[in-house]
Amino acid sequence: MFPSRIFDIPELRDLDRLFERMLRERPFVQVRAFPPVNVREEPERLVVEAALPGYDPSRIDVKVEEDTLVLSGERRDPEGARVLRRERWSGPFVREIALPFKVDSDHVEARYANGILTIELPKAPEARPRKIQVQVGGGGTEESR
Amino acid sequence: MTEPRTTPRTDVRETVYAPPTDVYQFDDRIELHVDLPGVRPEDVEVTFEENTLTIRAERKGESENWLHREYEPAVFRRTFTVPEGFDTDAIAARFDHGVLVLRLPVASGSKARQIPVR
Repeated sequence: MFPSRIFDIPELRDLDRLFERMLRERPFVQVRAFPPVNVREEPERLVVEAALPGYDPSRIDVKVEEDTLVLSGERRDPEGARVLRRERWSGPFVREIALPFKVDSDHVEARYANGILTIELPKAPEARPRKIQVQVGGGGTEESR
Repeated sequence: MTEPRTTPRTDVRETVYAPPTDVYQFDDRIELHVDLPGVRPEDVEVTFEENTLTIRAERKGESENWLHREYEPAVFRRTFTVPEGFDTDAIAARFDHGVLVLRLPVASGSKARQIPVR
């Protein structure tokens, strides 16, 4: 119950009704970007997994543009079929994923298994972890003062 | 043709998802295409009992250190009621690239017949 009911302000009744309808009609499944992705960082690379069930891997386009990974493609309905119910994502998709660091775009690899497209993006040399040599001993320490 | 029950079960520990499904009609059959990305073929189970097709599946996965996560290991379950007119002995299932395809052939006796007009 909304406060407008308590005071019964006529001007607010419509708003009240609108609000109730919005809450009731809120979809169970939230609309999100397609495909859903998981992103993981490893010391030498970034791994992106995209859930793309039933896609022909040769028709999925994987591109790196500057600091963005762009996935695009399309899934077609089977030929000669009439659609009685549609719940799955249909038609073309484009998904852009901002990369957290520079990658070596010449050595990006993608593989497809069980409807998951896994993309490995090696870090560019400047983004890789660098080992810093720790100097031991030598002059300039407090002891030598 | 289906009566999907999409209400998620809340009596179990993990969330159970109803996988999104497209239904296609062909001249001789109906096909259900169920999206189950990341599920291994051995983790899909389809049963048929008293006109009810039940799909159970599980997407397994180790917990990894994700920077960003939009899908997780999950349990899937969905049932479909098959109406009269299908050859239920000939229902076939195939799992390919994360999509479960269920083929329901129309019973031969109930195929559309041409009624001669005199």
